[in-house]
Amino acid sequence: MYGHILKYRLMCLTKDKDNMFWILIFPIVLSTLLYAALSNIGNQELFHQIPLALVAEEEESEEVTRLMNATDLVEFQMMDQTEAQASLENEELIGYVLMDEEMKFVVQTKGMEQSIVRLFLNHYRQTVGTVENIMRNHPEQMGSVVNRLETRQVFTTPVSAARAKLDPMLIFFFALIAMTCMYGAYLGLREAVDIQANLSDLAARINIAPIHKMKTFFYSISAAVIIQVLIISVLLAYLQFVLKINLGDRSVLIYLTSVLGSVLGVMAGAFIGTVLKTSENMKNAIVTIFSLGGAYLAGLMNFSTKYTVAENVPILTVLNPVNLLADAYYALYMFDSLERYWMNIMYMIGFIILFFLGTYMNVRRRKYASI
Amino acid sequence: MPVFKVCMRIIKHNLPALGIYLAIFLGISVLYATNMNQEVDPNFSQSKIPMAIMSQDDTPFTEGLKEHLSGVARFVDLEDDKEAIQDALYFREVVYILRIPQGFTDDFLNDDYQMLEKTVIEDASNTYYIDLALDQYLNTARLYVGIESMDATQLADTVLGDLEEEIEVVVTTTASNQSVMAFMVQYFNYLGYGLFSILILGVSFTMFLLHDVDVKNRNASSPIPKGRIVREHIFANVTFAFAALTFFLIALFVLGVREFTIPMLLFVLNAIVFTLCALGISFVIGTLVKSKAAIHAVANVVALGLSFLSGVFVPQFLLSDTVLKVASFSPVYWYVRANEYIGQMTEVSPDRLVIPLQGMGIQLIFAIMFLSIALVIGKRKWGLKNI
Repeated sequence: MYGHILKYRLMCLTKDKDNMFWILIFPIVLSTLLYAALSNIGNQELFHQIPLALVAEEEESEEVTRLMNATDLVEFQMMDQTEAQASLENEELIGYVLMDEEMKFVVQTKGMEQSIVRLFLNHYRQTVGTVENIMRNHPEQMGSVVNRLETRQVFTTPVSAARAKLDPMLIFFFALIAMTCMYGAYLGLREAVDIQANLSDLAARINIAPIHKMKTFFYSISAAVIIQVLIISVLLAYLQFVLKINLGDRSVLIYLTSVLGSVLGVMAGAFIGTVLKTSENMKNAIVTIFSLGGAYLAGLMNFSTKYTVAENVPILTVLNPVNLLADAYYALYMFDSLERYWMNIMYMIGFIILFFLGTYMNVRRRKYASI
Repeated sequence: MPVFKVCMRIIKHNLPALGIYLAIFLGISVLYATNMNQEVDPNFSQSKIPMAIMSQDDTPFTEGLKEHLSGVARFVDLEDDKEAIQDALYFREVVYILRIPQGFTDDFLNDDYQMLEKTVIEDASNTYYIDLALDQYLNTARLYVGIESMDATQLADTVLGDLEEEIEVVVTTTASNQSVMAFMVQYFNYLGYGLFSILILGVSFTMFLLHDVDVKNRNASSPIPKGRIVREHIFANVTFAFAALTFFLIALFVLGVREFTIPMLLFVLNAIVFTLCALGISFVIGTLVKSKAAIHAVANVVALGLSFLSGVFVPQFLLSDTVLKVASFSPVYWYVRANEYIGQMTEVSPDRLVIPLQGMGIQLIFAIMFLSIALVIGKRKWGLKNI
């Protein structure tokens, strides 16, 4: 009997083109778009040598040479002022240095690169001032000062931040995988509708059959979970092997988390389908808000949302199952310790039990006097 | 105008579905608008980076260091916990964490230098920026240490005094407000997505219903000439499209942008051309879709897809060249490109108008092309000739 029902439920669910589009095709399309749009985002914050023009009357002077060799942060080009101004307006340069009587820095807009150059030029000027200051009071120390200027001390040493690269792009994909798991709710909802005689004709027919209702429900739910697990496997394979996104080195745990997430998604749908007394359209809308809204709070559309929510409304991180899943992936990727990961898993299991009990209480022993 | 009226009723009936897109669009816009700074600041201000300092050595010298760093950093309070630090770094809430060890000042004054630990995002511009400021304070202090005997307070005061000297910065653009312009670019770019989604849905709904076989047969038996049905249908969709555009422009006004400048006019003109183009694409989709559920799927994939690839959500300069090449086959790309150029316009001169006008021209060609395709498919598929 199990095999029979399972087979037909699998056929029913896979032939539902609407659901298949949203659960399978949409996440794959969205992940491709996210990948295309975001694959360069990490490079944006990387440092690149800043192109800058130097405008000086005497191009060979000692000061010009000293300034040009003072840093690797800037790439100087000698230009006359008209040329420099034109390059600035065409945005080929972020600014130019005018070596008049006083040094001036000409920019068009404010920004990070301009700030770096200004800081460097200030420091250049300040160092000259400091040396003059010391020379005035201690001319005998000339040799020592020059020596110290030439051997500038490095005062900082970098300490590793995390076990993996701090790649901001991943948070979008963690939220996307979590959202896809939660899309399993559409399947769970469909199963819930198809066993409640007051909601569909098919369910009315199934209810007449001499088979325990919870058994039927269990069989159908297992079909939904099987499909959802297959879908999430396809998505994970697509991310890992086609888009070549590095989700971290704990692949087995990532997969098992996704399986648990699929069960959570399907059960959430079943819960919404049985507990709420409203139309099927409304229930579908609630599933959409629950999964898409949850994914938004977990960082699907804006990288910093997840952190902002965790800092300002910490309770939402626990109450939002999409975030629990996304955070589990994030914890696997970032931290050596798995404490935070297991905490998320425990909450997810808690939700699954809650959804199961809620569904069970509502489905069992339901009798219909008239439909 | 019975056909026109029917189209309007169909759209009215589907307003809740369209409302979702309007609400998402307005929500995002309000969020951006609250960050918009209306004031124009003519002076150069240094960028400030979020940074955390964990000091075990609180002396006047390290206080001086913090004071100097406050010119380039915004200090963030951070719990000294490994996971909290990793979290904050990952989400860029803080990009530079500096640890000052105990006894750092005493050792420094004795010409013995302890290393400061920094936890940073590797190779980021921000890291170089803070390093530069840190290095300047400490190396300037080091010049004095070997030469004059000073205590921590004197050393900090002397160094801070030396570091007060600044070069003059000339900012050539002060006329236009960069913050408002940036918001406008963002608003009009997002408008591309919002408008596109709404038009695909609205136009497809009317076309789907009017091209239903029974409705088509009923219309064929009515005394209204076929040409008029088609004209009224097109007119209804154009009215709907421009009503939607007007709604977005009024929303912009309500959000506080009330400038009537030449760039503003260009933004609006670009949006009008884009509306025509989106209308053309919506006509094509409307003639091709087979079920109502498919309309939502197509609207999402086409509007979201083209917007992502063309730089609506992520600025074009961040997209890779391959993506941009693919995107250049879509009108959204030219719409966004024109917006970005208009946004950078510091003065209006003929050579600065070339790229925005070129963008609009290409969109017009796209619009004509899509409209022609829609008419050809419509004639073949639905037999408009025989209505």
